[in-house]
Amino acid sequence: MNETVTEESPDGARTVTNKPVGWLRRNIRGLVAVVVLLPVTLGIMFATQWISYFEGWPSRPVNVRAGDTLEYGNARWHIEGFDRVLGDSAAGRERDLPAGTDLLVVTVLVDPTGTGPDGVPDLCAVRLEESGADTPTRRWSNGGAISLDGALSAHTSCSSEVSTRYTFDAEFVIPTDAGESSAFSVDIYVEDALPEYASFALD
Amino acid sequence: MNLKTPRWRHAANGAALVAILSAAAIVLHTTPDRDLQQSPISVPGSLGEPATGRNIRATVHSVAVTEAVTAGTGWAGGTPGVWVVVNLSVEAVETDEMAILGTALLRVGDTHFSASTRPGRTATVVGGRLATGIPLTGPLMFEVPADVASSTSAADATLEFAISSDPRVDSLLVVPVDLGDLPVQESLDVDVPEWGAR
Amino acid sequence: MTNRGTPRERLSWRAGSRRLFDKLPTPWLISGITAVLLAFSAVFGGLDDAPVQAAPVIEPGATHVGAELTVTVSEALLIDAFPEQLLVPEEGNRLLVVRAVVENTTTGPLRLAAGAADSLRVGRVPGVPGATPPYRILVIDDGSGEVAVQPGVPVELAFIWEVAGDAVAEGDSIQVQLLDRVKISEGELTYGGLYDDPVVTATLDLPLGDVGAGVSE
Repeated sequence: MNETVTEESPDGARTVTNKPVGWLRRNIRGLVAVVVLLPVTLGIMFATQWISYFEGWPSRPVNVRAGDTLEYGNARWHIEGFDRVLGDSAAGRERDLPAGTDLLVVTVLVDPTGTGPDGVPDLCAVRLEESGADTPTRRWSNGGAISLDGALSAHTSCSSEVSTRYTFDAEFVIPTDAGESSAFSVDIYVEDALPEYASFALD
Repeated sequence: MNLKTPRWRHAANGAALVAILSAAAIVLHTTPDRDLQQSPISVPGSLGEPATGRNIRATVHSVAVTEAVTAGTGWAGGTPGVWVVVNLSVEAVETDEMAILGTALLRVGDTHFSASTRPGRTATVVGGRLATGIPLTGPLMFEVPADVASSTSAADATLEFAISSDPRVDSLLVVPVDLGDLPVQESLDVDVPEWGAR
Repeated sequence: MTNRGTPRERLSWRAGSRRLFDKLPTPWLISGITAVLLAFSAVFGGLDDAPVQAAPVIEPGATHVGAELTVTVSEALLIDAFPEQLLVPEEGNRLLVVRAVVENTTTGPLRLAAGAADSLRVGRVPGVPGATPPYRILVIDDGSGEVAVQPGVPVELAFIWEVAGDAVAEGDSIQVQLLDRVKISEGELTYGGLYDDPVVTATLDLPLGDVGAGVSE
């Protein structure tokens, strides 16, 4: 492709020449299209995969303090209190705590305001999270590997049979050094309300 | 204008072709195959020291070779070979969700043996759920042929541990153990797995 | 001979046949020759079914070396139940047990899952169709399930099927089939090999024993 260029020489004579147009100018439209479309395509491809991944995982915390009541899922949640039973105390020995561990009992008040799609109150998963500035984040599940006898409370997790206000005691067996330079938070999540989950900071 | 392609252009084309073909050959032969792409990430450990991978930390305390073993639950199994009994502490590091001891192997030469499930679920730590920060200490038993302990590759035997039973693309803790160095005992009693720091 | 103006000469036999061949489409020619050759081979049995090699019949107690397992079947018997292993059949049924010593000749442990019929099957048992997997597989030494045969360590196993109480009795002869798995390839996305349907590589005929409620060993 050529374009017409008109040149004027110093003595007034005009010459019209055909200059070949550079490769860049010829292909500028295509290049702009690639530069725009390539990241957009990649972005859309990754976004669709990652969005569905994050939607099924508790990934969006709703942070509240321990004293507040939170409406989440089909119930209202409130941390009544928490108690740390030391491993070498009398109460700890009674529960047969393994060596080097403590027991953290979190009492959660649940007020079901509705039911899930199956017509009964939702079941929930509760976990304890330890996070600090220079400690790696650690998590313990309610109903984890270590099961202790002698729980006093009737419920240790959400119940799908009770539709009025009730409390349950979530028990976590944690190492004795947990919580030394870090803060605890209790995460509660309900399958239907994912990816949001309730995160109560214990202090 | 001479329309015939000059000879040097032909030569240049040929040279470029050879260069591209050689580059393709190099790429073809050095591309990692599926085994390399999906290989586990080995974390070397040593006897008595903790080895930490992704969400798993294991410490091998002792290894013994014995002809008969009795578990803490009372199980006593016979074998035409010998038992390699490993005392192990294992814990999860970050979270106890989906954390179990899924892979526990003894590799001698090109043969590998899996930790025996014959003693029962509560007698050994294989397949057991892990707790974050709280070690589970207990035995693992491997049933091996009697001549393995005295074979030439017994000195380079390794113990391998991982969270999933599919060890690909995840941490694999590798602890070398010299089987040839261990005397073959007549019998050994082991305890039931226990939680808690030792 | 394209000149239509001149009267047509009578073609010689050779020229005429050559002209016919020119007019014949080549694909027709090739198919025709192939058909003739096939028909010719039928005379010599080329179109008969390929003979299937029957699996060899071995004696009870003989060792059969398979691709992955070396199996020695010792006996088959009927038993009421294994109460210690919580293996109690339904009312009116009994358990058919085949005892075999199995040795793993590969380089890694092999899990024998009770739900898969890829190492041992029984045949000629009324009420148990041909490819029924064992109900359970137990280690005879300690009665444990979840069998993983370690390489180089022979282990005596009990392969157990549930049968109707009156289907078979002591003295009846049943057939035990030993199978091999055929490995196709390593899994591309999955872990472990991909296997084709198992093939029968040996059969044996065993007389059934009956131990009633059981013996303690």
